Amino acid sequence: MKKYSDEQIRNGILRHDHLILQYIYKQFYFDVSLFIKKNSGDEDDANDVFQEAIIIIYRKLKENNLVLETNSFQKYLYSVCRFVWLKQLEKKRVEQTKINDSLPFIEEIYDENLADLVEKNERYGLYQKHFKTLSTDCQKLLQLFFDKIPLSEIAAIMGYKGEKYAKKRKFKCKELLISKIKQDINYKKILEDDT
Amino acid sequence: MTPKTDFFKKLEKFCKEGLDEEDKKELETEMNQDPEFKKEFELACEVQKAIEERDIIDLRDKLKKIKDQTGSGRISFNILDGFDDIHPLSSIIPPEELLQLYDSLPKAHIYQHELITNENIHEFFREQDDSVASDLNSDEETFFQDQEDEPEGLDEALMEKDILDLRDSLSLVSEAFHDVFSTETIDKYLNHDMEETERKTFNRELAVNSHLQREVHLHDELESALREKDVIELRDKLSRLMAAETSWNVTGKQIEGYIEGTLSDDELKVFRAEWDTNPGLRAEVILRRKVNEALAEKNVISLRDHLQQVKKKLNISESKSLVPEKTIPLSYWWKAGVAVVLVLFAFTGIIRSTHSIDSFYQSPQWSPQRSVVAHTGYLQEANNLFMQEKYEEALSVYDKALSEVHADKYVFQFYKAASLQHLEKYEDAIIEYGKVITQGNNLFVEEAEWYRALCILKLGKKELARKELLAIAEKKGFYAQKARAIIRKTRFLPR
Repeated sequence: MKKYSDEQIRNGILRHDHLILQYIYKQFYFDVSLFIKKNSGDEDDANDVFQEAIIIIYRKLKENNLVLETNSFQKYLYSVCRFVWLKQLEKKRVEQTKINDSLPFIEEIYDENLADLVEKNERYGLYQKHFKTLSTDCQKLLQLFFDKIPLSEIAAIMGYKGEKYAKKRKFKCKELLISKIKQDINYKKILEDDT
Repeated sequence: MTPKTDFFKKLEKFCKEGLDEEDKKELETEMNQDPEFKKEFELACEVQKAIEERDIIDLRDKLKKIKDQTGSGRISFNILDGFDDIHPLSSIIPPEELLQLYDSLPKAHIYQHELITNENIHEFFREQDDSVASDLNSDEETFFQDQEDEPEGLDEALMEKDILDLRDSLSLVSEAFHDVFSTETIDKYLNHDMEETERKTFNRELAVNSHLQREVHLHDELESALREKDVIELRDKLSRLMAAETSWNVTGKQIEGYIEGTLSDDELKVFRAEWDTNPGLRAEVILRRKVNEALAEKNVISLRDHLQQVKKKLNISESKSLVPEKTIPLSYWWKAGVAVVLVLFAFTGIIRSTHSIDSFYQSPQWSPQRSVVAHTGYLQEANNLFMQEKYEEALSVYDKALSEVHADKYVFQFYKAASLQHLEKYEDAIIEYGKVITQGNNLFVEEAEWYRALCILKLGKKELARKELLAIAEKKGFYAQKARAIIRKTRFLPR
């Protein structure tokens, strides 16, 4: 299999390049999954953590906020995965002293900035997850609103009889979304952590 | 010196203030000169006054009599308490009479007090007779002992009227608080659609209302989160990729070739390179070898087949009863059996050839678990026909049931689709499974999705089947693992 440089990987993540994502998964997933399974997690946890770590890296790349030394992508990815999983264990009240560290990691990246980003990613991920559970009609409608498309245009696109109905329907969709979020046990945990 | 008889006369007159001026002066002089005499004289005067309090003496006598008459010691001053729900005190002394005996202020007070508040203790009476007072206490004790089962502090809690009122007020405030700001209002605020005055009011409330602050923050964040189309897409892409891919860089065919020793030198070189760096691949090879060893146990496989046949026979014989208890665990056997067989076949590489799709294929079997709520008459009839593989006849029963039975009809819809699948009418089966899936609110959606995907696969529409299987895998349900296995294996088949 072709090897990719760190720069190619970074650009690939920014472009959502299928080949690069596939490469990252094939190259690095197993170690992460092993680490998580050794530390009170299962395959699903490993999948989630790996996925969210890539998204966190993507967010950093988008903000132009990722400085990596040469050939250090793997270590950086592992460090983020480790951090994300430790945060989850913290929430599950598992003592970190018992962590079985099988992944190499860069301790210097564990700063407030990363902690904030991981928290933001967790909240946004939760909102986005519930958004995906809405009907396609609701999803499309809310997206159009958030993209600041004029109301008349939204009504026409969605095939509604008028702007008033489009607006009413938007509120219904948003209310449903907010109630789903509020009922989520993880949202309640986030609130607890904030207070 | 005053003679004794004269002294008592003078004393009586002095106490009643009837002594003439001369005698009074003489007596006062004598008292001033002799403090002992003064003390004695004052005591005698008090005794005199006490003796003259006839009404009090009479009252005390009567109270003593009351106590002696009741004898049991259970009497208390409940005699003043409403006059109807008390132990009969005595027919001799009704309360009014008792009241008349002594007209003092405390007595009048206690009478009124007792009538109104039902209170049966008063210090005045306690002072009159300690024994009566102690009876009173024993009554109280009995009462409180009777109340032992009540939760501790209940009385105190109920007495906290101010707290109860405060709690009510807080609930009202809280209700008002949550209702005032709808999603619409918050959206208007965030989109700057509010009138100036409305905005000012909202801002004032926002400054002091932490609940509202949190709501606004949530709405604000939600908008930002949902504008992240790129992140949502990336997450979807990663989910699909991780559901469909393995974490190694060689094909299943190459792994099987490696295990069987049929790889060419070049292929082996590539494989070894991956093997050295990828622990996931090493784990996969070990797993497949173990599966091969398990498959070599022909006697065990034969025993399992035999058990399957016994189970099938049992199912037929028990189909007369609606949902025989024994068949419920047996359906688990069936599911587990299918899963084991499927996984074993998948690993043996049987499905590597272009004809291997057939090895994934399975058609649904009868499972009483699906039918526990359906119409019993049709269910029994259909059960028999389905189990005897008379699918054409079963179909007509299902059609009849669907036209007549409305409650829980999706069990019939599902089996209609299953019968069509058994009859190899895959196009029709897909339509019927689709109805079960579209309705959504029934127990068969997951199974219907799975079998529909298999029907599509059977029709050779591999790309469409792949999409369906991916959706099943993403749901992480009962069939997710099998769906992933098929996706992995069919990647190498011509589309």
